[in-house]
Amino acid sequence: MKNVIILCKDKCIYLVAALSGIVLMLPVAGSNEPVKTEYYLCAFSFALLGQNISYIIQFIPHFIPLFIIQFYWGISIYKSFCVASIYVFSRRNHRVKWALRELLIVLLKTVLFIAAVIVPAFIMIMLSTQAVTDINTVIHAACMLIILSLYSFEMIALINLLSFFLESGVAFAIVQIINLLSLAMYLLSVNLKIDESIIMDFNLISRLMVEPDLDIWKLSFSLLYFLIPAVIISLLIVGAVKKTQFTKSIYEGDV
Amino acid sequence: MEFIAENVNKTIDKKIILNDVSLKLRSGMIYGFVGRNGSGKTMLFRALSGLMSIDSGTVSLDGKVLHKDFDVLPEFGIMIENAGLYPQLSGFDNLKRLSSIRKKAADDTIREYIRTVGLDPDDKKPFRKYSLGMKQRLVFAQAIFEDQKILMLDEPTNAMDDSGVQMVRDILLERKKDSIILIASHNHEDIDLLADEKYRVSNGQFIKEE
Repeated sequence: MKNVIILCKDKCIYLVAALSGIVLMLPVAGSNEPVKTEYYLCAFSFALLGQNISYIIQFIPHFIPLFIIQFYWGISIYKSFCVASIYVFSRRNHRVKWALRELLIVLLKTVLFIAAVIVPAFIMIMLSTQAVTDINTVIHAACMLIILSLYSFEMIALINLLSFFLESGVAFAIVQIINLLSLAMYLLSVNLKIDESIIMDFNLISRLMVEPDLDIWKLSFSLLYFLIPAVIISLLIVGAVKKTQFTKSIYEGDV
Repeated sequence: MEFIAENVNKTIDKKIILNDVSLKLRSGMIYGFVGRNGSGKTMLFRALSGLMSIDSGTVSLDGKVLHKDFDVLPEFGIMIENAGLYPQLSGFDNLKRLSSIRKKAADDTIREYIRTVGLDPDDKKPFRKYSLGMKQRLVFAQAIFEDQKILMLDEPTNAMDDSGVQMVRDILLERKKDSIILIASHNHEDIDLLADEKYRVSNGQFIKEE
């Protein structure tokens, strides 16, 4: 029950997620085209993004929910670690357990947030278009939920990890620069003298894509692409929490 | 209860913080540490409690070794100068949240201790809006409200008015019989009045005063 309360405490942010899901689907409302629902839904994973700088207009609104979540929970673990730290950790013998619990809470919150974007968008498409919904739509939605959640968790975990070593604002900026560079590489890949398949395979933005025609290999690769770094970053956070020594007051004041 | 530090050394950024510190502490005693800022008093508390690792030496409580048998000392209370509590929570909520870790103190106990230190348990004012003296009182309450048997108090009477200073002294003298109490203070009066054994701290060395 206590964990449910923790997860639901941020109800405003879930409301923002739901609203952004609805708002982003407004342009397709009233469409009579008999396309499959996943065609609209896949826009959330940037699958309809072209490799041209002009597509940045299409990218930004769909990235906003992912940016919000990184901004809102970006330093949640680090902040939780810092506040009243002397008095919390003088009572805890197992910092590892504490870190794992915090990571799990962030993961669950991330999944809830992405679901709060996708589900209202899905309902909006169902109610306002002639799009056809079948089992494939559900599979698409599930794949998007997993991949976008893993990506968001990974980014949040990375901001938290960097915050242990740098100022938290700098940590946030570094992660956004990674996002921007990935986007730039993707949009400009046609003009770059690099093998395009490398960009498509290893670019952060292209790995977020869940295309209307499901490709199980691509999806599995995307899953590993986000899962492995997420696990590594999580382990590094656990290590940082375990190893941090309370030698100076930076860890003790209000954050 | 026997709390022993043997040949404890700690260096941070090439500066010697603790220099071959050996102490033998036992229940029923109050130990006073006097020294200038940066002499190593607070660092000793951090090292003895497990909040900071040590480079060499051992710290043990009744034969059990710190960083081997436990990560932080069991059942100890600490007060570190400038270390705050949850800024957005009230006094009661602060102690309630901390009590959820060890699960030793009931709500009534928390209320009783908040009253004992001269604060109102029903005051909804967040900690960040407390005056310095009130903050100090609440931090003192968190160090004792779970009936901790080892107390490490860094400047416990700082920023407190006369009634606060008297309250801290009374409580420490009352708790002394079954506890090990360590106090670091600039206030010689506190140390002279409370301490059974006094140590002068200078450059990470702890010299017992006769």
